Amino acid sequence: MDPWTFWLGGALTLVGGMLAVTRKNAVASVMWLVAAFVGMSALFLGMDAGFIGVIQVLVYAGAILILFVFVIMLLNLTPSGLLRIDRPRFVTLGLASALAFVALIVAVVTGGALWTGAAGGEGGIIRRTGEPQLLEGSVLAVADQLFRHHLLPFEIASVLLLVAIVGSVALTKRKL
Amino acid sequence: MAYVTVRRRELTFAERLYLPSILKGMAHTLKHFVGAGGRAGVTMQYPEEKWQLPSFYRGVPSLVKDADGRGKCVACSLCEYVCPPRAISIVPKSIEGVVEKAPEVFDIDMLRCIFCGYCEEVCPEEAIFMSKEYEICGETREELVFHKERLYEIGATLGADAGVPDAERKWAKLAREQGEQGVTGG
Amino acid sequence: MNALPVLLAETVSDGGVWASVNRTFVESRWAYPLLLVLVVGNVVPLLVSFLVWAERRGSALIQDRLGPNRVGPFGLFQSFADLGKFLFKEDVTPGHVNKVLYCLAPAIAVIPPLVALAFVPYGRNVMMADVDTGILACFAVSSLHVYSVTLGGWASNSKFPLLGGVRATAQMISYEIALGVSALAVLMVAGSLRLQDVVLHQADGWTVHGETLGAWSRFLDWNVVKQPIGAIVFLIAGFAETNRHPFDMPEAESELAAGYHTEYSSMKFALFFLGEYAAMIVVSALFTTLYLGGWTLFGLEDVLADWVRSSAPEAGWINWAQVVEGVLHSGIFFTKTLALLFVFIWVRWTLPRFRYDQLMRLGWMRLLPLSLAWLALTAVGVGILR
Repeated sequence: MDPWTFWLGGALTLVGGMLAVTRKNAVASVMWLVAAFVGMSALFLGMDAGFIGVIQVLVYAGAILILFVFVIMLLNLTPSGLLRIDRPRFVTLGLASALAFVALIVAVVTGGALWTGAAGGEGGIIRRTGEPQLLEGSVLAVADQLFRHHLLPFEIASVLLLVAIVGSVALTKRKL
Repeated sequence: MAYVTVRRRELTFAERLYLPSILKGMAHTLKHFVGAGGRAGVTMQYPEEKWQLPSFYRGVPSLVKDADGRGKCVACSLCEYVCPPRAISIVPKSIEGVVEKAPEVFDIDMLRCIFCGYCEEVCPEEAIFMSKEYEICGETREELVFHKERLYEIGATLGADAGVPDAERKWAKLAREQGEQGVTGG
Repeated sequence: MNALPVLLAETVSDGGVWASVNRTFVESRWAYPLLLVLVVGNVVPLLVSFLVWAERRGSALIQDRLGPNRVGPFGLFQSFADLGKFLFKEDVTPGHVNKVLYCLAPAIAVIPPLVALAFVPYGRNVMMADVDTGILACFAVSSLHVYSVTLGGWASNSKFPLLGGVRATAQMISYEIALGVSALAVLMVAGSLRLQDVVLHQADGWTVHGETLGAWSRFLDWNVVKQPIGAIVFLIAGFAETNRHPFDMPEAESELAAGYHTEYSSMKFALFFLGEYAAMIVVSALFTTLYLGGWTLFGLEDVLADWVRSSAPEAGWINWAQVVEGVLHSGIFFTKTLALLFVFIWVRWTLPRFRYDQLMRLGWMRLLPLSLAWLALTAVGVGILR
């Protein structure tokens, strides 16, 4: 990856993510999240995963977060209303999840060597399945994986989504 | 009271589709778009083309002079008195050595004038006329207070329209009676 | 993707430092896209200014008036006079707004449409970013456009802009789905997301069971023939996406003052204006690419290019043959796009505005099922004929 893409995209992702958590204004928070997604998309594009990078913007930044903004606009949130949360408990939980996340990254990077003591990831809990390959045409690559090798999970996921949609309609609509 | 229920006609499929009507509408506007050259000709190209003003048109009030080139206004202040928005202000000249009074200052504030024409109607000397001038503009308020000179200037454009000439020729008559006294006017 | 060396046959023959620097730049993969970015990035705002003029003159003619005809011949330079006015007007930022987002919104209005134009093929070799996610990238970038109206409405912190912003957001999200689904049917027929492939697929005649039909089928190969319903849905959804009449809910002068840009003045307002027209150009360019055969003209574009090329000067410092081809192709492309832009203007001055509930009903209960049904039908058709 181009080092410029990495540093700029990574910085945008991290700064955006942090500001998204710390902003008191909900709309500003969402906008920083958009910035974070754009940075993440840049990282994907830098890794030649064009399809995922584009979908990241199209789905998250372009569709889901705009719904967030939409809901926030209608709720008319005030900063004081957002501050009524149980501070110590959230800090503890946040730290715990951050630690768990770091542990996961370490596990992936070292191939589980820290846990098993084996060098080079032999027999690790999480094992790399091979060197990342450069695939010609990322759309084709993603489609190939989804529809040839992982068709069943893909279909199950779509059924799950359908159930969720039907459920949300059933819950919100009073008269069907 | 008896009433009739008007049953709405069932719309056909084409009507409910809405697209045929849209196309019909667009055909109509296209007809206008294409044939607009002729019809748009009714638009007057203002600064180059101007209105044919009717004879009764009331534009800027103006002062006129008699056949001998003397101002007709005698500073009687009737117009100042009658003016509804009080746009006119007159200061008469000293009357020594003249046959008739004349205004020292004759100002019409065009920001106040409502073009009612009362001044024209009330004037006993037929000295003030509503001109055909309607393009009034200025960058300051002061610029839009028309002074005596400007009003005579506008009045000069009226020509023969400015009512009957001084039939009595009173200046000449008075001058004959009193001999040459160095009468001056307006 | 041909790089600039194709365009410049023999760049610099003699040595010297400047020559080598020049050669390095010209042969780098940045040079040609950069040139195109410079051209398109300047042509589009220029096109917008003439589009505004065309809108005003067109509306005038439709209403039997004359329209602006004073500045320059036929009033062509009216927009530049207006631009000068916008630049020198006082830029008021009301005291009650959220300053950062208020200033961000006009910028977001302009940038996404301009970026989206980078993915559109203007000719065989005239393209800035030939990515294999083509249409998705285009949609992804232009989907960010909605933030401008949303933020503009919200950050203004007053009632009409907020209502306009909420309406715009709901409208744009709703119609984006129908837009995407109808475009999906085209991609299914073309068998590729790459816009260049979509264009070329519309120029090679019908292919049934692997056999290409006769030359006559080239004239029926545009997707507007193969995908009539999809084209109509795409066009209607495109009108709604760009907030144009008869879907100009977000602005709706008679109800909402000026909608989301009520509180904006001076150049910030002008940017919203520019963004709206740029979005119109994007939708027209996409419709041209997806349904009207892009830069192709029933194979005539090659015949013409060959003819012009034969009379072109020898390839010297500049490869004239390539330049001629590029100009010809983008000329065909822009002619089609401009025709569509005229349709945008024409419709605006013909149809009255929809009511908001009618708008939503049309989007969700008519266009979306229609486009989904058409997608299914296309899938079956492609399955049988391929």
